[in-house]
Amino acid sequence: MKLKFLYNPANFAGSVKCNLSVVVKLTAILIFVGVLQLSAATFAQGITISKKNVNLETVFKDIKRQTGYTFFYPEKVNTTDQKLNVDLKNATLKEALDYCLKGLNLSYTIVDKTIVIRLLPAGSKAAIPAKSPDQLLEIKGKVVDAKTKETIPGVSIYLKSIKTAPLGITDDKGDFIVHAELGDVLVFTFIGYKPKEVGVMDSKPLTVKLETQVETMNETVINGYQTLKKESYTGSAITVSGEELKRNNPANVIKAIASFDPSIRIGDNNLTGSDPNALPKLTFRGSTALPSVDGSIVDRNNLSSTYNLPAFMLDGFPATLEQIVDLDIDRIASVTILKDAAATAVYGSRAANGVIVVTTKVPKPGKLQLTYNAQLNIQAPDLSSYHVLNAAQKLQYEKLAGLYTTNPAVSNASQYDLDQQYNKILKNVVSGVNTYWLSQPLQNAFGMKHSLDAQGGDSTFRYDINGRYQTSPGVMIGSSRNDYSGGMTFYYNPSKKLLFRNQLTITQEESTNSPYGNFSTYVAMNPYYPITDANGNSLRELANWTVANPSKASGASEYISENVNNPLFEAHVGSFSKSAYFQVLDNFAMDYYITNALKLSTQFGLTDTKNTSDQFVSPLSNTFYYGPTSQINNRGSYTYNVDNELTYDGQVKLTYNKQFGGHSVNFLLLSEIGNDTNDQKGFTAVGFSNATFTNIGFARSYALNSSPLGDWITSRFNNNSLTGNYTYQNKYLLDLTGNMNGSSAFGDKHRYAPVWSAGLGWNAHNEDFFKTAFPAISQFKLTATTGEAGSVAFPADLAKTIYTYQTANWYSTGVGATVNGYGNDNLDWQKTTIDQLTLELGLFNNKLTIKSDYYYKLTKGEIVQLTTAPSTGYLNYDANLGDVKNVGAEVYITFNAYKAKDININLTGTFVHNKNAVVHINNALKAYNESVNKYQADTANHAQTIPLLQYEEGRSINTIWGVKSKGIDPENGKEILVKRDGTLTYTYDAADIQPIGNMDAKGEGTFGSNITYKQFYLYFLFHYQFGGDYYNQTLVDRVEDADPRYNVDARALTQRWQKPGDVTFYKNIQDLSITHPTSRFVQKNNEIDLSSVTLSYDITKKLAKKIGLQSLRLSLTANDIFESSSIQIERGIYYPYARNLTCMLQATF
Amino acid sequence: MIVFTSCNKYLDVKPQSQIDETKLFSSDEGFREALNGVYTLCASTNLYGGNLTFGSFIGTATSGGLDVLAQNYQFSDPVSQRIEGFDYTDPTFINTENTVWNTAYQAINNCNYILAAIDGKKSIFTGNDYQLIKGEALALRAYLHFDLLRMFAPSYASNPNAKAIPYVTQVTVKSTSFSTVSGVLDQCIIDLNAATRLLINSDPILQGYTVGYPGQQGQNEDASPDLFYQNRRHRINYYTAVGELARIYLYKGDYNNALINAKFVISGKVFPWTSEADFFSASNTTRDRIFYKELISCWFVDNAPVNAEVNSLYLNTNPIFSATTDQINNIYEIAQDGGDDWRLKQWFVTTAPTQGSDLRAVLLKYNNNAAPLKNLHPLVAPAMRLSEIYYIAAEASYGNGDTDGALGYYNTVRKNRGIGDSVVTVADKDAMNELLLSDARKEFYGESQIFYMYKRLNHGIPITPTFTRPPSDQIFVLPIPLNELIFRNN
Repeated sequence: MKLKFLYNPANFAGSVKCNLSVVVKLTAILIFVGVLQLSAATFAQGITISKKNVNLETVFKDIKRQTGYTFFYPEKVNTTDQKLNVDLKNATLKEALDYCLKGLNLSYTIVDKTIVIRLLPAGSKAAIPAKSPDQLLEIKGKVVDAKTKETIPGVSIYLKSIKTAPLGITDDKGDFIVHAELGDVLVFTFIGYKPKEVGVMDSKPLTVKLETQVETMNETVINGYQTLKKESYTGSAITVSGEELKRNNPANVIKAIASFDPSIRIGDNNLTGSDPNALPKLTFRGSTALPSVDGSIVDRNNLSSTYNLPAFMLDGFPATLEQIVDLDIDRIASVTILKDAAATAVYGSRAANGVIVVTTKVPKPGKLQLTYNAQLNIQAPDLSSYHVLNAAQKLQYEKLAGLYTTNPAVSNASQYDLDQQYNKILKNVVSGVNTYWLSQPLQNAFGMKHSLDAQGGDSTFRYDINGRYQTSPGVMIGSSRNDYSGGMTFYYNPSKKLLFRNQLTITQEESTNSPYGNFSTYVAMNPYYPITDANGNSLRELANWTVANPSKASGASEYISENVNNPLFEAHVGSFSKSAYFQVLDNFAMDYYITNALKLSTQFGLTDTKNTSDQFVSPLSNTFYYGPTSQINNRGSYTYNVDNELTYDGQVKLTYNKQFGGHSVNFLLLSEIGNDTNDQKGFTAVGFSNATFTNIGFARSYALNSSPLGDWITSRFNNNSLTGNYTYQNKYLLDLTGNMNGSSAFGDKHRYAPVWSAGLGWNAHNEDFFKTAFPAISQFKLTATTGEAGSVAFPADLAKTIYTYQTANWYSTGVGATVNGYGNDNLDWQKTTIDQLTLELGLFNNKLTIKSDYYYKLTKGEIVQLTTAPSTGYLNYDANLGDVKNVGAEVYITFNAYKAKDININLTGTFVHNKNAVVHINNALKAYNESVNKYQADTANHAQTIPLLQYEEGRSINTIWGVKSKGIDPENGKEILVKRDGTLTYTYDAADIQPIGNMDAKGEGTFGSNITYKQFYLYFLFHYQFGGDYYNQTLVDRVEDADPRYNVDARALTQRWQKPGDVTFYKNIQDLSITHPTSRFVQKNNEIDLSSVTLSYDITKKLAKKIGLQSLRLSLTANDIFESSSIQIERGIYYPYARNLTCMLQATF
Repeated sequence: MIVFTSCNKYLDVKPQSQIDETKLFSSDEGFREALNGVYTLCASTNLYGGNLTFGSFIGTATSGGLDVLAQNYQFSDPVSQRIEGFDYTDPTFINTENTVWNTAYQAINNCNYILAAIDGKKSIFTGNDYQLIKGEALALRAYLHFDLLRMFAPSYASNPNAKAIPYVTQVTVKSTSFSTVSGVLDQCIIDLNAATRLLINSDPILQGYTVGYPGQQGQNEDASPDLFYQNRRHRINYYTAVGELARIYLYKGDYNNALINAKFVISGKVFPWTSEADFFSASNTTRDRIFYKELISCWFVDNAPVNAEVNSLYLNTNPIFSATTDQINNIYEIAQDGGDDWRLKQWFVTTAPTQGSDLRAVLLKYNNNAAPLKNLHPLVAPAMRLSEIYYIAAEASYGNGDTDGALGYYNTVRKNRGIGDSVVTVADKDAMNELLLSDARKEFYGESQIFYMYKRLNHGIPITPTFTRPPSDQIFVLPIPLNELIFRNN
């Protein structure tokens, strides 16, 4: 502009002349700026202005009037838009100008009687010719860790305005010397620390304290592929630090994660209780899985959870649930739960159920730092939910239930036999036999964990070496899960542009199941059975009953004799069942900064896992004891299985990050391939002489008529994604993601599927008008996102026609191959559309924050197994049918209730509500409902007492189906049922089945608090839920349908109908018929439990130093210690629940 | 796009312990394996290795075999008694018939996979394999459909236009509509005619093949170095297809065609009658218990599961399947001229009962020697016997008015079963049928064939010597499985 101006004098002669003198003058000024600026203060005059809401122009006019100085703007300076309040009394010119221009993007210089106002553009200083160091101030200082006060070597120091080349770097003592101008802003950066800006005020030595990055984690979102600023991100994510997790539940990573976000639900696994070897069943934001319509329908416990399992990412690589369960909690830096489409779209096909991103700790440079963690975990079985009868009560119940009255439907024993039997038991009862079987297989379990971590290094090379030893015995004797792991991580920055990172982890895990078997066996044992005979020898057989043969097969006799075996005898015959895996995991990554804004990253991860399982059934076991005598030399069996799993994953990422003016853009281009191969082999050997020689080498032979087992499964995926994030002035946010995802699980026709997401956001709190209008609101962020995600969590061969070789059964003319099932090559991705609206609100400087999400999740083309007419040659096949929606709201509240010098109280609360509905089901699925009723009616399936799953459009997947009941008729102890037409009946008919309840809770969540007082820290968290229905299977199985020959719930004796006029909940005590699912057992499930309490104490820094430590923390965490519920159920059927107490010590050297 | 194409290849994972359809059907070997797969299914306990021959599942001992319905045994347990009494609502029975239906159609579907792929792959075959494999697959498809028809549809004699079963020729999840009885028979004939045209030029059994006992001199059963060409009679061969045509024409009452096809098998002279020496051999290892050389086709079931099943059914101390000796003596007409019948002498052993007071006769047809003793022949389930072809020829000749011819065929069988005196006159057609039925019942004991014969002739089923259950669709037609009716999708 200027150039053009000078070369066209003819046209603008007048104006040039006029301005030229000024230009010349100003050029001179610019050269001597440094010198003259200082002298500007000498032009001091008394200035007095007192005006409100005026613009700069007006103020300048006043100054001009009062001082005679004129103003000059060489660039386009806007002086009318800025409004300011001015209150100056007899100020010097410098004071007045400083005051007026403070906070504005303007600078001034005074030349003669002219005040030159210039823009202060970013990078303007770069345009100034480099000055020799002696023109600048020399600034000395040192950089220390804000917490530990340790000096930090290798810290880079930049000018805020010029970020390309550092001014200096701290030496190995953490000292630095840089040269800068007064008013410059220095930026101290170091990996693992928050960048710190320091203004140059004078040349006094500085002490710069850097704060560690971890504490600021809540301000970023790690989506597994990149780290984004939370404020400019529209996706919905919950981030929890490893520290927080550990405080919540140091013994169980998954439980800890779930308690921070109630939208993740750990399935109420009543079967496996607190079994250390049972993997939790997770669902995320309501169920989407429809059942498989196969032979093994329909019990809720059979439903595979994998269809709803969130995807796990560990340090940028896909991980399994088991890997996360076995992860050393001390290694976790953060966990991020990605929930909506905008957050998860980058994962494409794996994202339908949310993504849980786990990152492990990054080594910090500095002197060698050792951290030692010790944990002692105490578990005590929780038997409070079991109410069994004692010996005398049990016998009384048996008599009432008619066990000692002849009944050909039950037994062919004569009255004499029965009397004899009764008296035999009575003799036991009278002689004081009253065994408490429940406690027999249980123990208080003491687990421990020791982990050691060493880290250090400098800015070019950092390392971390860690090791762990952890034992987790369960409350059933003999069950345990032990982990040993070690790892090594290094970060190598050969230059500012290049970063290499390698992480190696080796894990050995060993799990052993209790030889005591199912806990339910002990619950069912009669208390009048002695454990040992008079000589103290363990009894094998406790009782022998003649009963009607349940088998209706041809040739079967009408009555059979049934043994009651002593489970404790079986537990001591030497059988075992254990499994182990050895895993080597190596992740290598390289980041290359092509320019300051453009980064190329590559990552490669390799996981090799060898899983083995060994199952030995002792030759002394009952399994063989009752077997044919001709097979004596085949007693005892050993089954060995090995599964070698090799997983690799490679990624290339290109990220671009640039800010200019108020614009900020962020791009990620990603391409990733992954492979998972399972190679399984196994065989069974039989014929062991005794239980001492359990080595497989002692086996006599392979199992008869069996062949070795082998399988090889590979699944692969390819993920290509382009993500863009744009922010304008940190006010307006836009996120866009496009994703092409391929998976080997899909048919040839649908190998790739595009998914996308879009998000819009508004940071209202960054708007000026908002600040003035709502000063109390410190944060007001509104985001709306929409998009699609897919799901591929099913077997790899559904979309292909696969033949299996009948290798164990050759035909006389060669081996045969038969078709497995219909390969539906039209099988398409199951797609979920997620729309979400989020409001993040912060009040009073974020003392109170509220985040609320509202989502609408529609899963279309749910993969459903369809039953076909068998004449097609298939019993069923898989197709995309059935749509399910989940609509819900989630609210997260944190409140800093009280803050003072020594005390800080935070309150947190969460609430989620999810409404589930089947939107559309295919006709075939409707036919499924019919088949369910038939299935239930067939006595051979033993499913008469369990409410089976049925589906109806508009109703929740979790609807409970059964017949409506009016309760028990006091007249005769029979149940009064309501037919579909409203009439009453005593007869159960499957045709009257209708919805009788909905298991979906109206609301669920957590509330808790953390309180810091001096060195103490207290944390507790309650979990609550209300409004859902629950079908109380315990009451059916253990009270009404209980086999009176075994021990039952105490209510079977005390609360059942016995004589006309008894108003009871339970039917006639003598009625041994089957109780079908009716609304009688549907109960409201309102419960509250204290899921964790932690108390910790940090010794003071002073004391720590004295004993040669940097820090020392002692803490105590208790989990699952209290529960109050509106329903009474027996919890933990195969394995009891346990209460958990963990003592911890963490010391840093 | 180039990236996606190459990635597509990457994502195309081929399983190793199993095999992709396209890969299987890319070689001659693969087609052979697929065909063997059909035989494996047929020989399974669900079909001819169990329910459709001996009449039971392994271990669970649930009966449903058609020989039970033919009143060949006597049971003491209520479930078998109900089934024996034609109670087709019994859950055990329903279970068994569902298994039969499902597995038979599974086998048919496996044939259809081969037939759908084979014509596009003609060039990959060596020798006559294309004709042989396609011919056998077609014949198997017809064979299985015909047996399903004989179980689940009314007989042609009862109602040729009744709704029968679906005749499935396509690989699809869309259900095929039901054909009528005559429609199914026509489709069977089409498939079998196509099969015979393919097999006539390719089946080794037509190329100087000598039937015999495995391992013996001069026979071709296990002579070929290629396993696939051994044991032609363990698979559907040319003569089986022809014999099946004879069966089907007779089922339709088409005596002409039935006779032509039956004669064709007989005149081939491939299947010699069993010698007395082999049948009565004193040595356990050299005794032919099943008239092995007379089997035109049989299912190879010499595997552990079927051995175990046969043992539990017939050979335990208290076998599930046994008749009283009185019952057997009655079936074998000991009062008339059946006393010399080889079959009575060699197939049954009398044991003292553990339940009840009647002596029981236990079937030894499927007896197999305890290891390490070898049998003269492997354990097989008969699929088609030479004697049946003679019965067909006899019945068809009589139907054509050739009484002497009919008696000639009948007497040939009698003679080869040790009954010396020939029958020279027969009063009428019913008498002829009675002659054939009574011999067939002896011949087919434990093979589940006699039920089909009663049904075809719409003949009553003799319950006791004095009482015969009159013929009706109620006893002859097994109900179509419920799933087949509920889950049809068109």
